[in-house]
Amino acid sequence: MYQYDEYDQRIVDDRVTLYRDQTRRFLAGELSEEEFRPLRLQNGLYIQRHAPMLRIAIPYGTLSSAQLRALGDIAQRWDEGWGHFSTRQNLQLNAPRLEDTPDILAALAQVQMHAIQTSGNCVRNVTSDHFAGIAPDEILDPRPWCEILRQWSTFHPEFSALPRKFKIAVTASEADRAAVQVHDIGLRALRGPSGEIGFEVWAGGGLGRTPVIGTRIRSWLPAPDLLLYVEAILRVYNADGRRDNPYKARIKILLREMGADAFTQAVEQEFSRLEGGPGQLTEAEMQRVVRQFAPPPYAHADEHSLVADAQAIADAVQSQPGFERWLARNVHEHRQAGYAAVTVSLKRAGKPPGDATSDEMRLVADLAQAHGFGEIRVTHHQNLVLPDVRRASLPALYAALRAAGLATPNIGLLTDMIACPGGDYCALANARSIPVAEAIRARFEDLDDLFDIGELELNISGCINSCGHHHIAQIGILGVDKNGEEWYQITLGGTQGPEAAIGKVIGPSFSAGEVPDAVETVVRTYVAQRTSCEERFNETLARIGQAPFREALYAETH
Amino acid sequence: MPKLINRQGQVLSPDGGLTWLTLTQWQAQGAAMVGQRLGLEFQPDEHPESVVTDLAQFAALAARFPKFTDGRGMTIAQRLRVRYGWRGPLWAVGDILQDQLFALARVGFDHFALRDDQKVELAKAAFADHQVRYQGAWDEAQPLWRREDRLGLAP
Repeated sequence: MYQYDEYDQRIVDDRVTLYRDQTRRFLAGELSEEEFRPLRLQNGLYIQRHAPMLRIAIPYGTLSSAQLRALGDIAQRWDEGWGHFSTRQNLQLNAPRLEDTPDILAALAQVQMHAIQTSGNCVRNVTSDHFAGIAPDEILDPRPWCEILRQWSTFHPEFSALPRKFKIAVTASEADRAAVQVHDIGLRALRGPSGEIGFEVWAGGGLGRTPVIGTRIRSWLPAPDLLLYVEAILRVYNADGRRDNPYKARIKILLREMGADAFTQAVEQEFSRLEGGPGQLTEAEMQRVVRQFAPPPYAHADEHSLVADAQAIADAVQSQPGFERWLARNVHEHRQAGYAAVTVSLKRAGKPPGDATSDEMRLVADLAQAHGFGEIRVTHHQNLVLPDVRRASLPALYAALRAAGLATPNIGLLTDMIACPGGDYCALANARSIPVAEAIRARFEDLDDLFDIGELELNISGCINSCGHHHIAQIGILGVDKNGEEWYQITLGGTQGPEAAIGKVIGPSFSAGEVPDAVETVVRTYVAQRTSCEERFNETLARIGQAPFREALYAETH
Repeated sequence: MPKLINRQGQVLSPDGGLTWLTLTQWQAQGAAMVGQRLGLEFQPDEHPESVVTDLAQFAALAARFPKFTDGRGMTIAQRLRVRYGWRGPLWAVGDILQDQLFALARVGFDHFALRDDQKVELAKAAFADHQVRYQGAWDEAQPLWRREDRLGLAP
């Protein structure tokens, strides 16, 4: 993975010094709350319901063991001993003291980490595929391009006060595990006829109040032009994006109001002025970054070792209870023979989705070293991934994770829910997400039942800002406020990936107490109506329409 | 009355001895004022395109920041400097913060109107807030990787 050189290190070190002085000036009354706000936000610090919240950047979701261990230590020393992995592959601490945040940033800088631009109206952390570099279906590793974008966007002077936040995602596989079509800019890496790298460019996607699937504005952008094209898009947006209404300030609204053709033309015109300029990536720079993501020294697998791996796994299926289910759900194919990727489920009884304690972070960091090359990924589904596990070590890894309560075999199943922190923590939320997620999880606790239902995506957002990505889940739940009370709206038919689609509201919303019954009704209707276990929720919905779901829901409860 | 400083932190006459016009004023009555020492101030929603051919009439240009959270003036500066090749003085006026001076200077501003309570010494120091600049801008067109040999540093 990418290692800082002295320039990268000086950037984060200087930032700590600056932020320490900004915080001092604020606490001394030399900076008003209003003036301090954008400064602290661009360092990831929100003022929340009960305490500040610090969002730490995990660029494209890749961490080293040393970094994850440091995050665990930071959460213990300056917070309450736990953190929340977010849908943008970051880590949020929910109770640091403002006075301590400069020290936290200094501790992060020691392990080549920061909280730069994790909030505020600027280019945010670039997200990517959590299986980058290891997925069998990938065209190339997208992370070098994310890193190139990270450096370019860090303290970009022209784009430091945009109309609104700006999110870029990069994928390099057909499956698009980075949801690029619902980002301000989505990039899909491709290879041209001679193996050259390029990108398909999407713009103007986003969730939130006005969910929009992005528009493909370029089908082929040569890799050396990547930064120039992104610069052109941001320049058009910074100059002409709306600033009169924060709800209409995202680039998706500009694209819609200008029209896709006029927007694309404006971007192309700006780009044509930049082409061939100094921002065009050199072969040397691309190679410098690409080389740092070179595959680790994998052990070569031969016929004998593969047979031995298979035997060890077959033995474990017999001897270790629960291993087979975990193997089916939490273990993923790897491009390297003899290896697998393992998802550490952060969706378990009694814990909010995505939460991990300091001890758990340190344990996962250790396991990534014992069973891999000391690397961990954070998924936008709020789980962790150990990317390079020898297949022969799977039984031992399972035993260690199971002992720690981190082996719930539910990846891709209904209880692998995405949920934002909701009204328990977030000042924006209309409703709580965590208790609702827990009630649904408890309803579907029976593993036989959960496996019979099969793959199903359910996401929960506590408000229309949609951090829980409810719009693109097959079953989406949105917290809404009605006369000071918490209600939950259900949407069906959202889709992630290359055929991204926004779910449709099924009908009147439900009280918190009614939600588990409503979800169960939807799920049972699907199971009863599907033609086989192979038919996925959205296929059934497309075939039979919303009516049977609506009848089942509202005939019973209203 | 705001204080005007340059990048060296020197305090200058607040209007620079110029008659300042908005774009609307210039378009309405500009012809009558040719020959005077003029400054032209852009509002954030104005695009310099419309007056490109007139720029030579001005001794200085300015972009107004109605609120420090409104970054449109940054792109106005980029366009004036890079696209239209303006080499004369460029003022940042309105609501600007000490912590924005580094970025303002990077995109091409060289005069800065500070509020009365903003300290000149601190402002002067702010031009050196960062030692490393990853990306190219007006102050340094070459990105870091074209300026420095980063290959030799790679682990």
